[in-house]
Amino acid sequence: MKGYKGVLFSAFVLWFGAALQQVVSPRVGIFGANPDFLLVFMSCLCLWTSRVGGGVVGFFAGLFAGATTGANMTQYIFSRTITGFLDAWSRLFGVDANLFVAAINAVLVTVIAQLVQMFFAPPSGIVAFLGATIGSAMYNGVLAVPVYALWRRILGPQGT
Amino acid sequence: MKQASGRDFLILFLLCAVGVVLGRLQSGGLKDGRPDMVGSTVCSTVKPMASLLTFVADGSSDFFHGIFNASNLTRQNRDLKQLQIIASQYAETVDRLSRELDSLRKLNDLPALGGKTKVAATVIGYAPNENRITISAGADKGLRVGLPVVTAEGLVGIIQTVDKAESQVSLLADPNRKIGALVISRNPPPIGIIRGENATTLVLTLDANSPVQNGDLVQTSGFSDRIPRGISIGRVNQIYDDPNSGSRRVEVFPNVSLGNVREVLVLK
Repeated sequence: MKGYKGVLFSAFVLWFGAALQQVVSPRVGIFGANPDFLLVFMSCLCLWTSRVGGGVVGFFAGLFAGATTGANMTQYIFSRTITGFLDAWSRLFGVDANLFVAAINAVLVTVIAQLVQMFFAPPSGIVAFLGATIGSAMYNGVLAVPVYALWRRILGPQGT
Repeated sequence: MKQASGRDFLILFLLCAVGVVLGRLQSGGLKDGRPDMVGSTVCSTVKPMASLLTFVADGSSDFFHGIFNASNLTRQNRDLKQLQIIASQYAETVDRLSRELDSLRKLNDLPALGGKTKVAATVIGYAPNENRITISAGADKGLRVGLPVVTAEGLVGIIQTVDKAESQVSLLADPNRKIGALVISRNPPPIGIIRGENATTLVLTLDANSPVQNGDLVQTSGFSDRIPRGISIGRVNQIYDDPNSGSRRVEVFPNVSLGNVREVLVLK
């Protein structure tokens, strides 16, 4: 995914993800776990991007998350940018992306992003926060499968 | 290769630095009771799609709810019509008593109790982790920071920042939000400070000897120029005594189910 088409596609999915996160996420909770659409889209985008691309995608995912929730942007931008950078970097391990990898990737991205965020802004109830993070990670892992399958048809295989 | 790697880390550092600057701008805005420019711009770009998704989600939810609960809805509609008739009579009584109260206060050289204007708004965003909702009314409708946001069930939260056409509301569940409250079911009503703990528990701190029981109704105390007295907050759920601090910790179950609020009123 390179050039202006990649930039446009990333911008569109992050913008759409922010709207989904604002409207749909609170309505589709299961056992107290809500999906984080921005993290799902970010984790899937990072399967196609370079390290810097992953960082930039993470930056805008954090910007959208911080702006739409009205929360402090620094913690969101920090956590998402670092996670996006690391996620895109992990492609160097040589693991070929497939549906299973996309799901595991989304789970790990959610856990790492939330843990980094917890480090910068410790929540009042850490146990509840960790429980919500695990639930959200599982939810995101499931959502990443159809998202990756759809994008693979649109963008082509990883690395193109 | 090494140069490219160094450049990547430099860009990562710069992105994080921009994040810090944006966070500072936002914090400065919150302190002054106004939203930051970047946040407002991002929100306004997302708003059209969010409005469309809200319309679709509400429409589908109402459609399926209507299909599966048709008979129940018909019965509720009948009951509501009856309640509307009773409420209209009640409102007339309240108006009459209010006029009497004002005239009595005037006789004692006290200022009349100012009525609050209600501004209707729709909830257009809900961030449960941040204990915050976004409502579709802002400075254009005369809203200010600190005004109470209510539903028919009771207090929802307090306006934290005001934009031109929307406002951020800090919910009752916010642990940093403290409001004066009293237990109206007792005479004289014990008065304390209530704050959020989570979405289903608020904590009211009272004097150790305060008479209070499970099920008692908690309302706003009204010792504020913006939050009037008598707005329902919730009911007492648990009571714990803390002998060390000499206080009584009262857990209150909020009247308003925060996750299900769609339409609200702002009292200005």
